[in-house]
Amino acid sequence: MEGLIKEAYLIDKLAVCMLGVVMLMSLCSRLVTLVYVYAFQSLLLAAIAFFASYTPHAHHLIWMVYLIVIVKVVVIPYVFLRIIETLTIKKEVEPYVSQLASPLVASGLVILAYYSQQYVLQLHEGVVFSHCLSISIAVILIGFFLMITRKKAVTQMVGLMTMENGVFLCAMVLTSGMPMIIELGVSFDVLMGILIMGIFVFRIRETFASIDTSKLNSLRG
Amino acid sequence: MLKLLLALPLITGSLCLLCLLVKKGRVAEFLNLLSVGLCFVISILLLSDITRSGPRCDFNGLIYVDTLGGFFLCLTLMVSLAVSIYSISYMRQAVEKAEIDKHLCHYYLLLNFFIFTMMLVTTTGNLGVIWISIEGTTLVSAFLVGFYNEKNSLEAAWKYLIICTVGITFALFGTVLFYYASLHIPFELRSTLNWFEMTRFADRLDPRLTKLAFVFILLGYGTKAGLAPMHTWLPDAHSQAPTPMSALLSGVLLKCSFYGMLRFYIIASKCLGTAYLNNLLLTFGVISLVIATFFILIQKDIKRLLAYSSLENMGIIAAGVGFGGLLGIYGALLHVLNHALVKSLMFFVSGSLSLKYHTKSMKDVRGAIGIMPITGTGLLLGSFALAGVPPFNMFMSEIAILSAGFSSGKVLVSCIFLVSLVIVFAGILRHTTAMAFNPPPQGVERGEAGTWAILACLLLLGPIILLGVCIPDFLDNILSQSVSIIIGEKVSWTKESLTLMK
Repeated sequence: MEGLIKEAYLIDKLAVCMLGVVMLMSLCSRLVTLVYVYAFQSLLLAAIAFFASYTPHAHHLIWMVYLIVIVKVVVIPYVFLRIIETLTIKKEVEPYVSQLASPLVASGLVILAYYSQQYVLQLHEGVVFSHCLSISIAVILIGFFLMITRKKAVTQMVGLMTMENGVFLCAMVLTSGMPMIIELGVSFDVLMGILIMGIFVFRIRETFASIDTSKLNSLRG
Repeated sequence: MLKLLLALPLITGSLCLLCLLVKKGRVAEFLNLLSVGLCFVISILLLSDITRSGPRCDFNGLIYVDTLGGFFLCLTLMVSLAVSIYSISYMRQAVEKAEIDKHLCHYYLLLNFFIFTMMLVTTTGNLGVIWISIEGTTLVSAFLVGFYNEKNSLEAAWKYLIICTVGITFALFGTVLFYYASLHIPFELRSTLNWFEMTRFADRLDPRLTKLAFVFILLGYGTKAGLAPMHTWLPDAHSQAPTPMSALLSGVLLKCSFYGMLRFYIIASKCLGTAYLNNLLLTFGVISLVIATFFILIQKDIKRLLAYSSLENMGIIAAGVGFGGLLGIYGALLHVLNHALVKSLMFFVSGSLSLKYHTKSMKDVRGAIGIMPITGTGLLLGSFALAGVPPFNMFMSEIAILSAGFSSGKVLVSCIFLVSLVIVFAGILRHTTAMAFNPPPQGVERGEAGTWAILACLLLLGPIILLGVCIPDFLDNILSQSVSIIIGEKVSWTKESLTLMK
């Protein structure tokens, strides 16, 4: 039992680190940095999966560690980097919410997530679990915030992947992992999604000579 | 039989890939038609078998088809069959007119995989697999939405891909929360997101978590089902996709996502009771209905008009489930079928017209009755049905839902519902009668659409007229069984009450 408490402690600390890293993303303006931060955040997720695999009924999570490392730490960041390199884009220009206000909004979202967890849900599952639920809600919200306030298609994709990481965090810590076949299917879909979005980014670039999605505005009403 | 059913589109898809290598578009056309036709026949046999002898279960619950699933499966394949027939005519013409720079086989390849993912949604009994396959539909159909590879269609495809993927991520979170809510059930009894098992133990779920989880599910699958205010992708995707695809998106894709939501609704309603869930569904339904009403009045583009009409009808279906009761849910399921039939017909007709007139603008499509007699008649009959004129099929289901609304005591909401229907009636008929009867413009030759296109329209017109007059016994049986699955108790009530009401 004592060992279990140690794992829970580690998971808790790692989850807090992950939240910090996600908040960092709201500060980044260079796209390459953003991708590296995303990869690091996925690495933390893999570490959480590793420690979570020692909790009861969760041994299959060890496969999730491999899956996350391969898909989210290596393949997806590689795809992002290739896109950025090929399209020679460097910085996010004029996001809808300024570079200064973004971290403030992100902190607000974290407070909102904790508030909703404590006063709305009022779960009494032990500190670690409720903590992780708040963190995963916060990660999802910040990812969503990044998506809707940035203009570059690549940043939107990174935001989307961050949201996905939040869901994965929730799935691994709270439910000790979804059934393996589901996790495999979900990872496959995520990977395919990123590849397909990548294809569309190239097509948009060819047709519009830019990947600024605020230029995609001819369809209205 | 089930395995064959699921394997067929995959095999056909791979064969289309082979056809692509040897550039044989006609072979792909034929293969696709054959396979979808075969699938449709099998699904009908399967459904009639299920209604008699109970649900089919395979692979530890990964594949699970009950009457409700079977109903949506048949619906999917019926529309897919009509689309396959129509595609032959439409895509050939589109290639001839050089609207498309890709080979026909690309289209049939994607079409088959798209049909496969939609079939998977309706045949699986695992909530996780439902998520995976609904996300799969987005990924495959994004290519079909962006098939023309022009500025507008790329914009529509990107919006579709991003908005639906975000929505579906919320749905994944909802699914995880549902799973988390079930963890209080002892491990031996606990299912692995198996729908059937989860309904059995639904009353032991944590109610607060279930509430939160359902909100996320509604947001997520609601985005894909085209409920307002998450509907913004819908008019763009529907108007920019090739027309047979628009029919498939509007006719069944929206419903497949709604079906996913229904599965969660069934579990949640056993845990929370129906009041909370119904209010949520009703709110989203009525918002969709009202928003769609305004946009229908001001549309200029025929396909966007039909897209907003899909939004309206998804609102009606959500409101039908939200009003609840036997009649409301029966009406909603009937409306799912009716809308799929009518909307496919309308898209087919509008596709033929826009190929003829070289425009999608309703202002420029005039005198359709004189120029294309059969298609023009189809346009007129279809828009009567769509507007809810008796004795067409959509009138039946709308009146059922409306009376469920009034009898559930929600008078204000029912009145809003009624007023919106009246405005939509006027809006649609104003546009379509002008298209049918106004004097035709110069320089458009008389002449019908291709044989296959007319065949597809006639095949759909039959059931549209038939279902307005009577509901056949087998359909009534299927619908009653589906209603009893959703409500969770045996339904002895049948269509007699519907006939009495008339």
